[in-house]
Amino acid sequence: MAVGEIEEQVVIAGEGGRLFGMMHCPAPGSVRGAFAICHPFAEEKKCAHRALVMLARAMAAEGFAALRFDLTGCGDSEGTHGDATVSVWRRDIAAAVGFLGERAPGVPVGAMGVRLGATLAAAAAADLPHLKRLILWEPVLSGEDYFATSLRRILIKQMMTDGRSRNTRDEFLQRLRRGEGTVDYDGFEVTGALYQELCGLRLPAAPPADDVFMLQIGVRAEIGRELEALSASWAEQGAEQGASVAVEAITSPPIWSRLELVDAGPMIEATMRRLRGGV
Amino acid sequence: MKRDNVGDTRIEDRVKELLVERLFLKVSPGDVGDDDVITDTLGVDSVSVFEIVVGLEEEYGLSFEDEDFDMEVFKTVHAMADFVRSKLGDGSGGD
Repeated sequence: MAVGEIEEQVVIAGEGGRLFGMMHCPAPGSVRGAFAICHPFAEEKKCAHRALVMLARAMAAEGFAALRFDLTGCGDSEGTHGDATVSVWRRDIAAAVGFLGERAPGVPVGAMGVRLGATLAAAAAADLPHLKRLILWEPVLSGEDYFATSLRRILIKQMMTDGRSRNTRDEFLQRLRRGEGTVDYDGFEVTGALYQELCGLRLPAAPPADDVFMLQIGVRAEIGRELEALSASWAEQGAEQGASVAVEAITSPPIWSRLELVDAGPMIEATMRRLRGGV
Repeated sequence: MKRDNVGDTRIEDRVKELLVERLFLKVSPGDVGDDDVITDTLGVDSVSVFEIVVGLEEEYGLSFEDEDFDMEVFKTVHAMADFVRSKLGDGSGGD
């Protein structure tokens, strides 16, 4: 850290209890913006953790206060994963943004998210008209598709352990749709309520903020059709208000699912480049 | 009819390319043997298998059903290629 920068643990009053957070503060007098950083879902949070620490420090070094925080039932925050719903998490993000507004008054406040965290941040922005900027790393386009695809990971893990998968996705999904108990999703309890709300979660049709920067992170150098179309739609809709929407592709292993060390430098540099030149 | 190639590319060779590409391996496709046990030689784990599944589905337009998640399918390049052939064998996918 540079001289004057501060990192401190904070507690935020969230929907389901206290939320644990880490504030990365720029040197006094140098704050020019602030971001709430929204982590991915379940195991993806663990894998992306270090990258988000590095991003937060890079932000603070260039004058952007960064608040990493754990959503209800996640990490060190109160509540259980069984208490969590999309609605609760959206309100957690609103609480984090509000906290930042008090800690860094008078500067633009934004939100940054990875994977489902990005989609949650974009959804929460609909309730936060004062939230000016969004940075979305590999946002989940559809909560329902994401969850159904992710259930395969459970089957694959069963296969790696036992030679074959023991369950089917339908078994899990039927249980959730009927509200019969919970599904153990990689050690994270998923309730029917959370599942139902995930099914309704998508990136919004209207641009969620004045300035939106999206990173597609994966094997492809070209932007996927759906993301490209959404980005173009947001740009067109926001043009009259002077909104700015951009999407870039970073060819990289997925930082949210790799167990080995993944260099998040390219994603961080692309983000900081955007912040240096943004609205 | 058993299909060895899709287009001009031997399926095993394309699977090797997919492995290197999707898993960001620091080897060349030619270094991967058809019958290497990839969990041993390439350190493939559950995360990698997920990437392989997505890669094969996108490349060949096929779909992994839940009952297809059997380690024998993913054991070697040859096994994966045979799986692709079995899925394409009715002419409903591929080139």
